Amino acid sequence: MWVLERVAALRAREDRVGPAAARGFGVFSLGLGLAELLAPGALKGALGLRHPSDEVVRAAYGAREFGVGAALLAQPHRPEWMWARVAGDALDIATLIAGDRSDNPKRTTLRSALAGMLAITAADVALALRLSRPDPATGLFGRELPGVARVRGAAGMMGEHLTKKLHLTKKAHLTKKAHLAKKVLPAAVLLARRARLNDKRVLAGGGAALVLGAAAVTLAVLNAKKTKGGTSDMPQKGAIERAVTVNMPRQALYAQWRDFARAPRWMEIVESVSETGEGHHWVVRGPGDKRIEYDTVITEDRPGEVLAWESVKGATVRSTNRLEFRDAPGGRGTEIHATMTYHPPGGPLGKVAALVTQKAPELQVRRDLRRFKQLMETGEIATTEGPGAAPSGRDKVKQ
Amino acid sequence: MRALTWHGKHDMRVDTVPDPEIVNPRDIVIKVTSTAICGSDLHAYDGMIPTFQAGDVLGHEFMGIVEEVGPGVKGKPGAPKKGDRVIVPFTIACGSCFFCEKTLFSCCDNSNPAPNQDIADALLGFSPAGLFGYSHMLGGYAGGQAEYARVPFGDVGPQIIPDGVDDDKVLFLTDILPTGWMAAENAQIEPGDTVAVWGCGPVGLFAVQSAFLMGAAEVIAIDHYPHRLELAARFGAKTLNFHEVKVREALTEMTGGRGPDSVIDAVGMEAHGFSPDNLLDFVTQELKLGNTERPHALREAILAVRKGGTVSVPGVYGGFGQNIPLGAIVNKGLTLKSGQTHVQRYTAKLLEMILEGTIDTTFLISHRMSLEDGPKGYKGFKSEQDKYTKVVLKPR
Ligand SMILES: NC(=O)c1ccc[n+]([C@@H]2O[C@H](COP(=O)([O-])OP(=O)(O)OC[C@H]3O[C@@H](n4cnc5c(N)ncnc54)[C@H](O)[C@@H]3O)[C@@H](O)[C@H]2O)c1
Ligand SMILES: [Zn+2]
Ligand SMILES: [Zn+2]
Repeated sequence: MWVLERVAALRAREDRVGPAAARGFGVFSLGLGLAELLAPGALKGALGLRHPSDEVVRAAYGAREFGVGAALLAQPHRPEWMWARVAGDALDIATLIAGDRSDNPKRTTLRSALAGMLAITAADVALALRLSRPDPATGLFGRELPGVARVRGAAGMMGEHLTKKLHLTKKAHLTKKAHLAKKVLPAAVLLARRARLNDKRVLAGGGAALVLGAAAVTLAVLNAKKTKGGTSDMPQKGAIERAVTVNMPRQALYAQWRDFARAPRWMEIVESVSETGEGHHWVVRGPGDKRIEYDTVITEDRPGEVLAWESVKGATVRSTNRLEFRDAPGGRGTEIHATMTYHPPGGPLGKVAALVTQKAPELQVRRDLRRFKQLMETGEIATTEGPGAAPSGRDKVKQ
Repeated sequence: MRALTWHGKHDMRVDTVPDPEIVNPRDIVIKVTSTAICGSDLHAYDGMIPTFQAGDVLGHEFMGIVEEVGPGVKGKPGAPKKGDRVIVPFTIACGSCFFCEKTLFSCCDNSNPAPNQDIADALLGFSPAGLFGYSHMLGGYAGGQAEYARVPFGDVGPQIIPDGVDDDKVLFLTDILPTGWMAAENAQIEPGDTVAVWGCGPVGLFAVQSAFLMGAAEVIAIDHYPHRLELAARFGAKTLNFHEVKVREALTEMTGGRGPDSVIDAVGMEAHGFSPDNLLDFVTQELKLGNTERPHALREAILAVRKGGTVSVPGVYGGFGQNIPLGAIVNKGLTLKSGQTHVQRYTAKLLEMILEGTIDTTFLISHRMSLEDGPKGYKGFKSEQDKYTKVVLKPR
């Protein structure tokens, strides 16, 4: 292809681009790091990753990318920083692999990311190798160049091949991970052997990793203290807040929610809600589609303004829910502000289970509010689930 | 039914897939009579659009005969009935949300399913409308390069076509004609203006026609395919082949040193050419080094436009680009307008203009093929752009 020829032509000059490239990678690191720090949730949300202490982990990742980026910018000649990047890449890959589960709805995105990550890692490794070995004769970096190209190419292909394989195979994910390990490990070993690092460098790299780790933790703690949302008048500890604007008057929207039996229409995990006399009996699908049942009572009811309910004492699920209906400014309909806390059965373990199976309340609240909005504004809930709604080659028909 | 499906970069297949059904009350199902391949489909074909999945049915330019209508459409005044011929806008819009009320149909709040909106939120900040056959981030809807298609909000989008009007004449109402029109509208053309258009693909060619209709005194069309440039010239445009001239210098020269009043980027994320910036983009885009775009045409347009001018961007970009001349935008005081087309805003009016003969549409079609030959159509439209100006596929 023409572009490849051009690239090949450019390579003739690449002997001197080692440090420049490192600086480029540094800028990229900085960008990614900043993104992870400043837009917590965005990246991981897009990939469907979830983790009990997401905040901390995310911020740590951000800090790590950021730190390495800065270091690379300052000292593009030092291979340690490139190696620190490689270590970071490995962490990213591990995180992505952990998220590669059949219940992850964003699995495809995640896998593209994984493929991208493998490619980036290969590039990083290649560059690190190159920086580690200046040509003794000329003192120039880049003697490894043909090797670099080869390693990169091979890794790119491997990534491509892997993603293809992962898309098509329906084997248990354990087997997939084994496959992955089988492919990645020999490559890693090969690369490590070629690197032949001396003790000084290993020490320096290790030291750098430690310093960065410490910085990461500090930043993580700072970042985790930030509150989310912050629109409710009554912020609660550990509460989830989500808001949606519906192009309809407050009273009508309140009336829909007040009739709790309708909730299953837009609340994805709710199977049924029935009147109990004092309040309501809820049947919801928990992790592993296990049925969970509990009772709630209404704690605040101001028609058209506020509706709040919570689980009764001793219920299997402890939850509090509050909906505020406010006029949106400028006649734009109604803002619904939802605040809720949710403690599924099983304590912290139950929480992890909920997170892992995408029954996590923070995901659910946002999606449920959107489904509610769609139902109110259009009379239906948009869907592309099931072969009839969105036929695809994944549901092949016998010919 | 038979459908053209995406299986990865440069891997299109014709599969037998389940038939679509009425799922929501406002759905209709149509039997597709004509469907076209779009430049946007080529971005998907090249694997540039995130969140496609193997097996996805492609195609967002399609028309056909209403086969079945949902209970929410049946009997609604003005809504299509079984047996009607309709064209289907590629943007799926509910017609009643804040954005639809403002005729920003491609920003509809309600047509992208809630779980898919999460993906778009992360990449774009907020989720736009769902589109037919254009990734899971944008809804995961099956496209219309198939024998049948499920069309949500059948009472809002589809435009009924009078009997006796050929498919070829009206098919492009689904996307590229309104896209070229909106591109010209976004260019804020005033009578006497000079407008430069990058890209003489279907979108660029309709932008050229529209710009003249909106009062442009001069339109300069830029591409490197002689036949495509010739088509632009047929509508009265002056042409520039970027392999033969330095575009910016030529534009400045041709406009007496002023620069064009408005510029239109009808190229998008996969610019051609050997300029250093485009090569750098190519490498970083291929290696996924934080770059998803090749916005060479956009860069050139921003630099070429006169002070205080308008930059209109119908060309599709998907993620994050690098080295956009922000300084020029600020210091020349430019206006930048873009968007997936709000098709529903334009269909009725443009249909009228086609029927009156004000706008020519059929000149564009270079190839007609059966749906079964769809993969060949993609290949040709991608790699022989000078010969293939537009491919129309016929199911059956
Ligand atoms: N905004 C929307 O709603 C919308 C709708 C349809 C299409 N599009 C987008 O519009 C763009 C064009 O679509 P199309 O169907 O015409 O595609 P196309 O691929 O047929 O046309 C693109 C043209 O741009 C030319 N080109 C490439 N690099 C150039 C450069 N550096 N300078 C000048 N010309 C250059 C190509 O030679 C080609 O003729 C695509 O990005 C497509 O995704 C957007
Ligand atoms: Zn299109
Ligand atoms: Zn809408």
